Amino acid sequence: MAFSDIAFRALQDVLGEENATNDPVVCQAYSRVQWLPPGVLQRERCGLDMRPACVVMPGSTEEVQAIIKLANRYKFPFIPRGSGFTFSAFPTKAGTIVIDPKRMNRIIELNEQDMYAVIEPYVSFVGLQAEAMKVGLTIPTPLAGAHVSCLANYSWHGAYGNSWLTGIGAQNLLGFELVLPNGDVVRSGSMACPEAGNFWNDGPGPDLRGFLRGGMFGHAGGMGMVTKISCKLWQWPGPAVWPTKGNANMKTSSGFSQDQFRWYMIKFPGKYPEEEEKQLKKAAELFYEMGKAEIACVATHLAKQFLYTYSSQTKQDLFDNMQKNVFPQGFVVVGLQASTSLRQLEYEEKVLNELVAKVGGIFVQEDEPAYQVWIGRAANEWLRFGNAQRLARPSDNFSIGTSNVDSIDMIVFDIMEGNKVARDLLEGPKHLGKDFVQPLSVHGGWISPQEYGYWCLMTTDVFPDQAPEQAKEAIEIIGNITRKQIENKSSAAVIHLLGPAYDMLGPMFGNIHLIVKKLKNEFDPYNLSNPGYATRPDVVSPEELQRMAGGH
Amino acid sequence: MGTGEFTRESLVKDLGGMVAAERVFSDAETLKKYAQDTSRAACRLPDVVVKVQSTAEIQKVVKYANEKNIPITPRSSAVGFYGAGIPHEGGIIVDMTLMKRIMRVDTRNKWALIEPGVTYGELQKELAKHGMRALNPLLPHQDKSVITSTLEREPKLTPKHHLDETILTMEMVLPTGDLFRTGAMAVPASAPEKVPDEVHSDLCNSMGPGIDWYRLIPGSLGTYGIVTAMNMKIAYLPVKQKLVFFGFKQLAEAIDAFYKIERKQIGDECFLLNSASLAAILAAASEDISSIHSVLPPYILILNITAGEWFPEEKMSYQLEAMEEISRTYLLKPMESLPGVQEAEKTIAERLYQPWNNGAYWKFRAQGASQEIFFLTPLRRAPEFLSIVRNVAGKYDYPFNQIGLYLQPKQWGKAFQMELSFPYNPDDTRAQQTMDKLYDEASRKLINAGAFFYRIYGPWADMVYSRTGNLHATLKKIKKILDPNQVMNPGQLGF
Amino acid sequence: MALERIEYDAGHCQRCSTCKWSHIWEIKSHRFSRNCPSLWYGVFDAYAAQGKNDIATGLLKGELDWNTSREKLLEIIYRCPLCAACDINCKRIMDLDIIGVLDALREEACEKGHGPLPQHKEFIQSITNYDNVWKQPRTRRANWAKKLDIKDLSKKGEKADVLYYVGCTYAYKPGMESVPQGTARIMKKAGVDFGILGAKEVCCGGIADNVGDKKSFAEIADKNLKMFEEVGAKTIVTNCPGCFMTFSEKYAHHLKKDTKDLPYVVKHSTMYIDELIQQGKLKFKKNVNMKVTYHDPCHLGRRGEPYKHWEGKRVKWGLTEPPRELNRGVNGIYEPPRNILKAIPGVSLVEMERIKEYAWCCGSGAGSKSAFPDFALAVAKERVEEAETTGASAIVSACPWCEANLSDGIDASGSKLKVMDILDIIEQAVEG
Repeated sequence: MAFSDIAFRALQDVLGEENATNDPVVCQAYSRVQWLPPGVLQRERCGLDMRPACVVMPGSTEEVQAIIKLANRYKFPFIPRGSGFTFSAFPTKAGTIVIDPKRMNRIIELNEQDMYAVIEPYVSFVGLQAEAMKVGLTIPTPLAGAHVSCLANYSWHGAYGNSWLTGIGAQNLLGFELVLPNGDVVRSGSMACPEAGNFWNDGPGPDLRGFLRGGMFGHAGGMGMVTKISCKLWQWPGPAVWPTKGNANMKTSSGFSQDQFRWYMIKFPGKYPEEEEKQLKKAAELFYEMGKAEIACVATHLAKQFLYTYSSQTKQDLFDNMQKNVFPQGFVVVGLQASTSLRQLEYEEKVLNELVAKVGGIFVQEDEPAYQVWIGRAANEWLRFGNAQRLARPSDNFSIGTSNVDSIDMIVFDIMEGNKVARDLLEGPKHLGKDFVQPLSVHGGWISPQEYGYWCLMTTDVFPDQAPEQAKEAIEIIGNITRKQIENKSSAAVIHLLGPAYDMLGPMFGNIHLIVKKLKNEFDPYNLSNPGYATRPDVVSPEELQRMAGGH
Repeated sequence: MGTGEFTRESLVKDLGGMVAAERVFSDAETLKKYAQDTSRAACRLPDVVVKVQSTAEIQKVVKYANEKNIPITPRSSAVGFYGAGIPHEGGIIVDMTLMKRIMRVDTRNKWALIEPGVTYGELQKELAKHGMRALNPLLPHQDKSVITSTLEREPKLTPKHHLDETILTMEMVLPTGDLFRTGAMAVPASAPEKVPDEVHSDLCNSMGPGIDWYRLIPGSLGTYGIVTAMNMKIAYLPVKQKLVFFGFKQLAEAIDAFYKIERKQIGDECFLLNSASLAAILAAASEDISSIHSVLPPYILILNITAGEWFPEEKMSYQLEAMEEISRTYLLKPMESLPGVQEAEKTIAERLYQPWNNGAYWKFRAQGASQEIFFLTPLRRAPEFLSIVRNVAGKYDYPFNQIGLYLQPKQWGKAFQMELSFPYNPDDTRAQQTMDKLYDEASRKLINAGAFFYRIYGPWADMVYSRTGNLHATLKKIKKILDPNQVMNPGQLGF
Repeated sequence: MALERIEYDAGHCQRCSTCKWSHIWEIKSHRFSRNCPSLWYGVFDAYAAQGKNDIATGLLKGELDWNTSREKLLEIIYRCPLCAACDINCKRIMDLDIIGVLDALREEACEKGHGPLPQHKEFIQSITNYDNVWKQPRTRRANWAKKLDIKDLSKKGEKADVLYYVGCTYAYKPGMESVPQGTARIMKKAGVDFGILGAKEVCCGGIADNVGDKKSFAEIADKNLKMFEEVGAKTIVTNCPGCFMTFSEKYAHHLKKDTKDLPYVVKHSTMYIDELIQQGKLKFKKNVNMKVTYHDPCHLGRRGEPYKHWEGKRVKWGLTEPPRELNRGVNGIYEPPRNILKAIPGVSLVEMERIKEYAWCCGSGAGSKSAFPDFALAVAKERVEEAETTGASAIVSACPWCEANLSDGIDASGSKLKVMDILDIIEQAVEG
């Protein structure tokens, strides 16, 4: 059913005219995914259908309920979103409305003593971190960029610079309030219990976070709209105000007291890229040892593309640095913080020195260009994230090559495998050509051990040439890497379940697609809540599966 | 009796064909044993008990139950405390206590893969060989299954954030009888313990497939499926440790210091017991409980300062220094032992990672039985809730100084489980009646005041879910999808 | 077609929302974390740079057209002070010419005959008719200078080292004459050899460029450049950041030169006075006991960098050929006004949360106040609220448009704050 005038007027009645628009110019601003290969293909496939029929701006949970109830009455699809950064926040068929949560931007509660905050959907990480720092607390630092919606990031998928300590989005979400696709409100955790406050989740009984979230992506907006969450805050021994020097993109922040934080870069000997695997394995050893010793607040391996992109001040700067080979390889970056005391920080430094020596690593010295460029300019980003999208800087086009979650050892294996697949495609018989992707692509990966190394997340990155016609080739590279992961029966296969992938891969995973379809059918019988990305309720025919396999 | 077409005899026969006849029980004595546990839950008989030995057997039984529409109550512990393993509608008890394989231990990635019947004692013994330990609650019963404890969310003794949620992957039998695996275990068809050998996975991804089962299943009391294997986080045993005790006259006096210790992440295990609970733990014999109780401070905070293999003395030193600073700030007197109690530090140190092994379970030692009320709370509200309990106890002339108190921080103090235990004489009918009324009233008043009852047993289901809006309806819808024939542990959680 | 020039920039938006918020590291509260006044007021993404990128792309691809959406397009394009917060923020991450996109949208509107807005056309017509934006007689342009005995460089034979360019607003707006009068007195005191253009001074034309009327701007610029050449102006000092930016950036762009290659050097009065203080030519002897906060005018601050001309194309990886140096707000004029305030005895400078290159705009720039007075007032009130949190008794600025709009904001919100031009404080401090 098309989005009707009657439905639009009903929305305006509920929200006020100024908070519901069907003006195509205004809606245009909600129609373009960021420039990355899946987004480019999505635009090609959907065209003007990607422009929502209407954008609404609720100011409260009750207004969200009203919108969703109207959606059920008039059968128009809706997409709940946060800041709109991710590709699932966009329509894929005509007649869809977008729910923009900008008016729901309150930090409702910030509890210093019990270390949690309660927030609405348009609270960004930046604002929350600023408030938290005033009281000696902080947040995980999102790689999606601190401007994104904290609530959306935790409900969907989030990875963080300091997740050695904090884990990912799943580990930081506490209670939530969800308006289901039929307009009913359900609350989870202590938030559901009057008088109990908002400090915890875990039930009561089964934990609904397991229902809302999952794999990486949960229902991707397909199970209604989250209107409030409580989330964890973390100890912050640093200053209430972030120290800075300089202006704009030349701003640096390296002036932390050595009594509070210390940064280290560690490299591993060997010829790169020939001995890349050896180097990554040594990095893995270091992480395992650090996990055993339970030291550090940041521990991550940054592939050289991360280092170039995050530390470069301009695109030209990046290319100049590449010419100078400032970062000849990836590095392990470690941050220590004085959670307990200065002596604790000093102890951890001593242990780190021993561990690095044990695994055969080498500290990058302060006078080395890599140290000056990274530590001087960008390291503190890992504690107060600001410029995540710099990953787009090399080619103004960026895609995650692959990602996986498993052990540190497996992640190293996956990086090597994934990059090999990509390199074969670039240089092998198909010969997409070295010029197809920016030279930084398919080197190493971002290794992000979680929770002191109990598990690990990784991504590799592809920086295709920015022309639209290259998007399909970029997707092919990514698709091949994913297929290899599935062949290897790596854990990555599980986390790629989203949208059409449910139907394609579901039979491999205990027919999860049937379970999720039933959940979808139960709670969203008309398939109104972000139908383009969440699983669809009906079982897909083999022919359509075939067609989908070539698509998104 | 179930509602399908069968008799007890046909049940026994059919189930005997699926497992082995000698593992199917329908005698009165056995059935009575499974009809009750240490809780005050009503005695309800199953029709038959099946002791299974494998996932395949469980699948067969569950599929059969679906065909015949017979309820199933899964149990993996030989002891029950809260009524979760007592059938509400008869049917089949699936007893997994024989499934005792510790299938694999990965010391590098720090996990152990076990079957449901493995107890803490068994697991700790095995892990100790590798210098590691399971993450255990406070002095679990020796028959308590590790998987049961984990799924019931018994809080771990360690407050470390990354050691709170310990589930990595699971193998489950869904209520339909289908096999299902979660996280990284979902990908291959290999037996769980063979996964790291046969495919490229180390079973370290807890997420998915689809939804996060590692969150949805705990707290479901078997109503969403039966877990038949789980790999869970383990940790290293400390190389050095030192216990420190702080005594308080009032609970309120402990609050600020407790928060600070957790905020500064000092030490490892850190928990508070009142004198009643600690006496029950420390007493060599039950007769000694009373005298120990009288010499202990009313509230005791116990902090275990530990160090691993790297410069352990230095690590101990900086933690102790930080602890001493807190002591000065809050005018506390840290003690290395407990006056009047011989070798208290040794007793506790030896037991920190062990199940109870000194006769009658410590919670029951005082009077033979005990009821517990537990919930999560921000620490600052603990005195308020204690006051509520005191008032209710007073109403029923239950002596306040007999009530046990245990406060356990989670995730460096972001939440605390507060546990009150009420010992009573199980042979005294009047005491039982008093206990029932006290339990009911205290539970209601605590819930009304905002105590977060997150583990839902028996009467708490109605008390909690009647106040939580659409939550129960949502959980029920999920239940209906997973268990279309409603065979899995019906009656629990208000389902 | 103007939009074709910025097709790449508009099309490669990453939707990261960096354009909507201040620099992460500088954000000190959730309350004052926003950086884009257009979005803050308009709320829908269309009002942000990200939204305008999408709109520009939509126009290019025929997904939007002027005929059916004229009114809304004009509102979105013009209800924006071109403060460039979005541009500066985006350029931390990307190398996209966001201010170029906003500029091209206005130019496109004019090219297609839809823009500028009537209120803007009035300004431009006024410049044509009166050489100023305020429809005031030319002959009164230098009335502020009566009795000050200042050289009139428009008169034959008169020469000076410095051309003091006053600008339309300081010249004509009642109550603002103290600023050019004070500036003149200060420069005299410091022994500066300067002159003015008197009644021959012509509007810089910045408003025409800002609203996209490039043709009118070109005519005005040519007129002024000829005048500067005739009077031999080597150094131009002006109090108005709008004029400053116009002479520095816009004229350079018009001449297809870098700012440094212009036939003159242009300085804002705060830059010049700061130099005079450094050189010891100006001393503060009187206490001015006040607690003040400083509001960075956008055209002096983040848009005050010298311009680097570029003509070229995008090549592989989005690099440019030849390499392009974008202005990123690094070298805006932030410190000279602060140096001055810190040098004045008795003045206590307290900063707002959003300052320098991440300052919150006053809301009046680029034709916003005339065409959208409610918007401009709301944005000013937001700034006033922020200023009040500092405990200051006055907001000091160095721009007549900021001061006028902030003044309106104070009146509308009932605040007890005062607005002062920095020159007024300087004059108080200089021994009479």
